[in-house]
Amino acid sequence: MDTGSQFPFLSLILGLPAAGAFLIVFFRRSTPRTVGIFSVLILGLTLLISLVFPFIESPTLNGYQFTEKIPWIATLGVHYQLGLDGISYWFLELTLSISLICLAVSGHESMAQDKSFYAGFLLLTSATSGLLVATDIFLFIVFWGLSIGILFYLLPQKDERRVGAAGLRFLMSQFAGMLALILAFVLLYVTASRMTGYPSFSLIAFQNFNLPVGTQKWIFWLLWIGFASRLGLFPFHSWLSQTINQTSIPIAVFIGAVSLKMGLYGFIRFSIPLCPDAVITGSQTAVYLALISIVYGALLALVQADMKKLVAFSCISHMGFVTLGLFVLNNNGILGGLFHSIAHGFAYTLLILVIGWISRTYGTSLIQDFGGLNRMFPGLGAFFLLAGFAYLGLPGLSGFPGLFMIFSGTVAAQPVWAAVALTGLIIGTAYMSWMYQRIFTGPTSDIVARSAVRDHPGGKTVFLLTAFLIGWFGLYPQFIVRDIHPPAGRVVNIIKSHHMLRDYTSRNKMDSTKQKKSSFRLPTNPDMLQDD
Amino acid sequence: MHAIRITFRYRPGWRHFENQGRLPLKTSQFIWLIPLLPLATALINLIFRQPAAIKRIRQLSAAVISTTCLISLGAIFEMASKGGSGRFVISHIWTWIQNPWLQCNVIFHLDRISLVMVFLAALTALAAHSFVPRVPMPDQQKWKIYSLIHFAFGMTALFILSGSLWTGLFGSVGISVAVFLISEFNVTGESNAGFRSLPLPALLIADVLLLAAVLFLQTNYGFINNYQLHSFTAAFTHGTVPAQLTAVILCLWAAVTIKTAGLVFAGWTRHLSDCPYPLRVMTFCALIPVYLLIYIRNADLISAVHFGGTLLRISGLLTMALALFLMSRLPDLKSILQQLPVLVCGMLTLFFSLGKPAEEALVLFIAVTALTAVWLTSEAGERSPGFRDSGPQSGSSGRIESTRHRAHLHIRDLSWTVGCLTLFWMPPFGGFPAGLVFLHEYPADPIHIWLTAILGLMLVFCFGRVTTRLFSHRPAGGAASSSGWALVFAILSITGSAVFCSMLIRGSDMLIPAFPGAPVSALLKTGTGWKTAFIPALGIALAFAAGLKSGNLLKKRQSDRTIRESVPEYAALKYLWIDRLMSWIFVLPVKKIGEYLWIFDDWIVQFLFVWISTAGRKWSEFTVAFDRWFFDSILVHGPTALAAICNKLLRGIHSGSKWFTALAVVTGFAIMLLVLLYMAFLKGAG
Repeated sequence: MDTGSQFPFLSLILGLPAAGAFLIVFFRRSTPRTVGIFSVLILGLTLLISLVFPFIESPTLNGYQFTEKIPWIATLGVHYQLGLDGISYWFLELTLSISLICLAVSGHESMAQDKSFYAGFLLLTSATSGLLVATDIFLFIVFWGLSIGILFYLLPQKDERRVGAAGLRFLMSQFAGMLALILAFVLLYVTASRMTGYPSFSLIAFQNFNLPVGTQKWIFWLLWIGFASRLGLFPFHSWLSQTINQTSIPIAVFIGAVSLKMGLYGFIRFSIPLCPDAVITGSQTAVYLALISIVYGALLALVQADMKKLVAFSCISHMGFVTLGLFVLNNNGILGGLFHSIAHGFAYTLLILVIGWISRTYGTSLIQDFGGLNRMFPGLGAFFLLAGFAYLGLPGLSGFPGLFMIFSGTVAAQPVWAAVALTGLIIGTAYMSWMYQRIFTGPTSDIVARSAVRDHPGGKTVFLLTAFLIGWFGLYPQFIVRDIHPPAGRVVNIIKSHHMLRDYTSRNKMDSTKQKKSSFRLPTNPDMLQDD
Repeated sequence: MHAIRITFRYRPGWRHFENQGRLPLKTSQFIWLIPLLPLATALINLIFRQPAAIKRIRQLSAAVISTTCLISLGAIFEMASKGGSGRFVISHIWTWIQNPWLQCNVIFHLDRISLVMVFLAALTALAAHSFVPRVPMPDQQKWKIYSLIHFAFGMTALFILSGSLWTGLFGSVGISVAVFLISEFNVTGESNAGFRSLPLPALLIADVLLLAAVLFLQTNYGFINNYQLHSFTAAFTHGTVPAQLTAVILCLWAAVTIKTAGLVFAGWTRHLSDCPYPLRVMTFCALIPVYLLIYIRNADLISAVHFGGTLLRISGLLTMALALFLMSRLPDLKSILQQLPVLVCGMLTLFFSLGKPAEEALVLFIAVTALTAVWLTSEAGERSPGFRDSGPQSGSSGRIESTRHRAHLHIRDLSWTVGCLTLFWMPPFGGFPAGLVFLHEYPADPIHIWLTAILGLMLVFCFGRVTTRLFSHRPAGGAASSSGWALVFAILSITGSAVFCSMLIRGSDMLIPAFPGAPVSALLKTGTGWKTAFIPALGIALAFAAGLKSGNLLKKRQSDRTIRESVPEYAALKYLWIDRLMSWIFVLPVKKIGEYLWIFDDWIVQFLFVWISTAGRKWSEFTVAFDRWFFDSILVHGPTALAAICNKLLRGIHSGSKWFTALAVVTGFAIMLLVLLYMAFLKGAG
């Protein structure tokens, strides 16, 4: 066993929620509330441990930190290999904090009356954290598949007897994506094994290979399909709106705030560093697809009649923004994409929590049924407005720094792309403010007036905490940026070096072609012939 | 990772001066408190919004705004004492983003314009704050007004003091949010929820345009603060503008036009007519005019001889014309007054197109205009019936007819008259010297003269419309104004100004600002003889009469209506053809595209999934049927039949039948033969 640090912290992070899930089996006589509190405590402890990481080692300076490596399937070269850098650290924090929020607010959900929900959720957190810290591709795909499977199990509400169309859609899309990932990884494994002569699934080892460009293209586009399916990008977006609309609020929060971001993590961790040549040639297509996602998602969000669906389509638009940032392939774009994917998680969480409370209280999430809610719940309106503003990227809130950097990178790459992406932001302004207007202002709707609910929603602490984080990341983005910019810079350097190599090779090719041409011409040159 | 490190201090080394090197400034060291204090107070009000604490909230608010006033005043004196065109930059207030590729800090840029503007904003906030106790709504809810005033003021101060493009953007978006919150807050509690002329989308779209300009400049020219921008734009003052900078100019122009409610973007301002009047004062006297700072900062770029100047000229003229048209159509005194800042912004835009005005003139003009606007807007607020009758319906109306019931207050009528005269640059009030200094910079060439003449006629019309509305009518059953002498005073002032300007113009080459005199001056310079006196007088008379007539017509049309008109009807009046035009051009097409895309998306998705699920079902049915057949026929019926045959055979043998015995023997031999053959085959193969 090879551990970079003295203590296997990462295994502890993965093991603690999994052990908690196992222990829930013994809570036979306990109420779901007790199990819920236990789960929250377990996740809280895990989050606390993860918060200590920066004080032990810096995950930003020397590549992967807290490394662990144990042989698993030796003949195939599979290892239980973990590691953490600045990017995976912040995605891990996002996963753990959002999971904690989901569990903290799940008490009112019907499916949370079943103890297996908590066990499932703890396992889901463990699996998602696992795919973030796995530095072995085999291990990564195992965690990837586990997270999909557990999510599929948690999708249906308790009162549903069977998995609905949304669940099937989710499963089909995600498994199709995973199939593409497996194909890509098998291709990568076989090619790399042939080149080196020994089998390995190590991500760190793969990063040093210079795969043939043709193979890279295949791997890149297979990976793109897999990760885009998870990210909900156009044209793999169809599962997202139905899933978020039909599932319970904690799961909807988890999917939009965490699960989608795993696709982005895949892009930055696998697609770009492993296939730099293919990325250079294919980035333009990826950018076009991202731009379509931005505008398409925003336009569809504009005409939605249902709050949850509107937010789901806005997610497609925002995932387009982060993908755009990544594939403009410069420092600001990549940094902005990463930042926005983390910041978007918190804004989305607050938004969907408010919407969830409204839909649970009034039994509907259709926008037309509401109006004048601000008069009864001004606090709720304020939280909604804050989350909506963060979503739109208002300065001072968490949405702005990421979008600012994405646009900054995009303008540097191609101003026209930035102009197209800006239209998505403009439409975003329209749909978000329009939704706020229709739900919270205007005359009080019948459904609100008739309802006996006058108490303010519970979970104010969670709302306040999320709102604080939204403000904090907006005012002090450096808190995240300083950790993620070194690994993001390394990714950009890989691309740059390959770019330079390509330029150099093409220049050499041109020179050699010129030489060939000139050598071919030599005999025909009468002057030179004379010299000879 | 490092421990959290927040840099939020002011070090003397961070500031530098353009002209005078390092100066030991004192008051201005605390300039960062101006935006910070109100924002912090707004937050405190929001957190501790106990109904019983309204007195403390009021005291805290007063203390904070007074402090900011004093700081800005101190800084102005300090700056004035240095002489010259001193300015300095506080280069580091807050580290926002810092990495090897991007550096964005909050930077403040202090010069005369910014200091005066921030002082005026503070004064406006102070005035608005002092009006809050008189607003007819329960004291428990007034913390919202205080909070909004502070928030709006804080963001305005941040925008004014911003020393870099992105700091300005931060303030600008903050102002948008403040305006949106103000528009959503009204006495009745009802909201004008609508999409066509909603403040937030309109203002945020303007911010997106600003963002585009900021991104372009920052990406292509590196880290840009106002200072660099100044020298940078100076390079483009003469000569052609690159195509990309054309886009920047257009973005800036469109953003300012939307934010100042210019051209067809006036619709969003009408959503503010129902909010409490201190907030209206804050919005129309501070939040809207402040955007002219973008023109001031980028004057070299925008007002140069290239297309930017023409764009501004047309934009300014059309904005003014449209504002005047709206003033002639709107029945509500508050709405009419809301067009005043738009009118002033249009006027300044026009003047920027003619050339960059001097700093002192600009300062004086902005100061006089802002203070007068505060004066008039607050007067209009105090005259609204809601002020006396605290019922929600009356509070939201504020119609002209109902404003006479306070006419016994002569001093108020006089105050109103003087305010109007000041705003329209009539001598001997403050507007006249302000305008004189302002226009002094422009040579009296024919274009300028004619433009001034057009402006003059427009404003005379406007003056007739606004000022005389207070005195010229008697509402049914209402008390008439007893302050007829105030009207006489106004008319005397106009006449006097015309004579005064006519005298001035004869020996001067400069433009004369008093607008009743402007047409006179224009025509005196272009014509000779008796026509020079008659035609301008006729023009003034016609414009003034048109203003009066406009008021009369509207009055007549409304005479049948009662004061208790319902709010929805009133709201319906707000949607003018401009809103509909905006809707047809921008909103409806986008929504239609969205709807068609949604249908397409839904159809594609449904088609795919229905097709897949149907195919899956059919496959499932087939496999089930096959399974059943296979299972039944091969696995169940086959062995069963075999077993039945064996059973029958054995029973037959046991029964002693010859046929069965013979069959068994033949079968046995056949099996033996097969086994032997198989063994031989195996041996052969071996």
